[in-house]
Amino acid sequence: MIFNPVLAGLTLRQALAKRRWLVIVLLAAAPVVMAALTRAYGTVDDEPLKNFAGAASYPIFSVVVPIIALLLAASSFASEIEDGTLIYLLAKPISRTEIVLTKLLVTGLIAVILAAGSTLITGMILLRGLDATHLVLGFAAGAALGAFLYTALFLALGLITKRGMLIGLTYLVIWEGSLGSFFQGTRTLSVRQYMLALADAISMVDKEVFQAQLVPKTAYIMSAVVAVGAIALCISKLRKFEIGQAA
Amino acid sequence: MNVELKNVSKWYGNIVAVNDVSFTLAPGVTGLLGPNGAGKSTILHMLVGLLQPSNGSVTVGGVSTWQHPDIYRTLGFVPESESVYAFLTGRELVRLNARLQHLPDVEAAVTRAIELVEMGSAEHRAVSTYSKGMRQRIKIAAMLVHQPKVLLLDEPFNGMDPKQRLQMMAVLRKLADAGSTILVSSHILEEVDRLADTVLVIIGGRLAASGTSRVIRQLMTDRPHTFTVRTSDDRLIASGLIRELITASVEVTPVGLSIRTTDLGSFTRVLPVLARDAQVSILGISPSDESLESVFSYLVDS
Repeated sequence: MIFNPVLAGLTLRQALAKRRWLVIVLLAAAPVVMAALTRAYGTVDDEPLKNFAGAASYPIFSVVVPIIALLLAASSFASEIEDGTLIYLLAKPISRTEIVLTKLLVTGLIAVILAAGSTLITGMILLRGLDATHLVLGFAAGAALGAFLYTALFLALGLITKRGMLIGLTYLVIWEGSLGSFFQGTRTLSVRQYMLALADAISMVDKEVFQAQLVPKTAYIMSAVVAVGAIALCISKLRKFEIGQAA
Repeated sequence: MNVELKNVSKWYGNIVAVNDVSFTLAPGVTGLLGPNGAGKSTILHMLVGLLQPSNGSVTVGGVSTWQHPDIYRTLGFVPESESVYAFLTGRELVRLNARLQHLPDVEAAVTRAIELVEMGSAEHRAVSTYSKGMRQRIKIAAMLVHQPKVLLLDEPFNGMDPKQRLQMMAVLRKLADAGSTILVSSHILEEVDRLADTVLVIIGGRLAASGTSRVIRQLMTDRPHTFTVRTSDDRLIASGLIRELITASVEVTPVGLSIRTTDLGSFTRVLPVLARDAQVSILGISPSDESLESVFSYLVDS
């Protein structure tokens, strides 16, 4: 079996416990509120499509989506290791693959819904009355892809190191934030670039409006590699997980 | 079902936590006794398959416990840490464990487990509102809901008051009499002594002694004892005591006599007689080495 409904219910409760649900909902709501304010009080926008693409690729793709994924992923292995409850799960006749896939499915799905939903509503507000369905759907799909990949990556990170949160944030700022977009070679190793490439491929807009730096094919292959790699890493780490290690 | 440790060692870098330990657990209660830091938890974690032995093998019913999650159908483990899913009620916690075990009749199993630890009256309260002893009990209910043949408990009596402790001992006794193999770790001799059929003494990562609890208790009482005795005439008593064969040494100190005896029983009879005959009053008597560590270190040295 690859999905455990009982474990899924537990994962959901853990993911939304301790006011975490409030933080992630606020994060997802932030771009929507900004969009509504812009529509209500902003001056007339002469390049609405370009501005939406800009808003989606900067604050949404590089801050909102990864942070939501980071918070949700941290609720699974990282905080269970910290509070000692992981033992209860590991001392059960459940295969490690089933544990990893169930947890990824639940946390990843919440991240995907929030990330895609936030992008979709932001786009619908900003581009109301314009023919921009493909553009909005493209960016929503990009957000969904990113949310899932980041969740998988951060789940693995939580099993590799106790400082998963810190390292995750550092990675986002240093790699995805700056290095990843400066150099040609590093682009193929940046989740944000995969998100943009997918958005570009679906939106089919003019180069003037928005253009991704990666070709779609590379982005698809790399996304698959990252997803499979992160899942394999999680399973392998969980199999070898040891408790009560001496300081 | 047999649980076997064969030449098991565990080290972290240069630190040896467990050093070449072998034993077999049979049905009944076995006590794993040792001071804090002796390696009891490390041994338990290896037994339960959540820690890989650096050397040697750990098997339950012939199957290695490391990386075999299927053994958790027959094995139950109650960790020392108090942490549980605190957002659940007691009953929900036990039910969650029953469902994760894929039990056929979840509610019946949950009710049985909760009744066993007598937590029925608090089962609908959130675990976060429980006292330490209640948490221990609900944890035990959760971990034995699938009626494991082998049950491993790490310091289960921590935080329980004497009444709860007795009650929990009775529960474990009942399970053992029904044929379960139970291992209970503790750093308190009295707990293990009352409960266990067999006692394993772990000191400094090694198996220092093993045997029935009577044998272990004997080992621990038939050893030199040191007392500090204050009397109205220390030197007179000292001269009388030194003539007795049971006295190994007497030292006159400013706070009284420091007396070392080889036979605790005889000493407690001889001293009052001596004092009466010499018309000396005994003002105070206190054992000076009763800490568990000194008892253990005696066992290691012998």
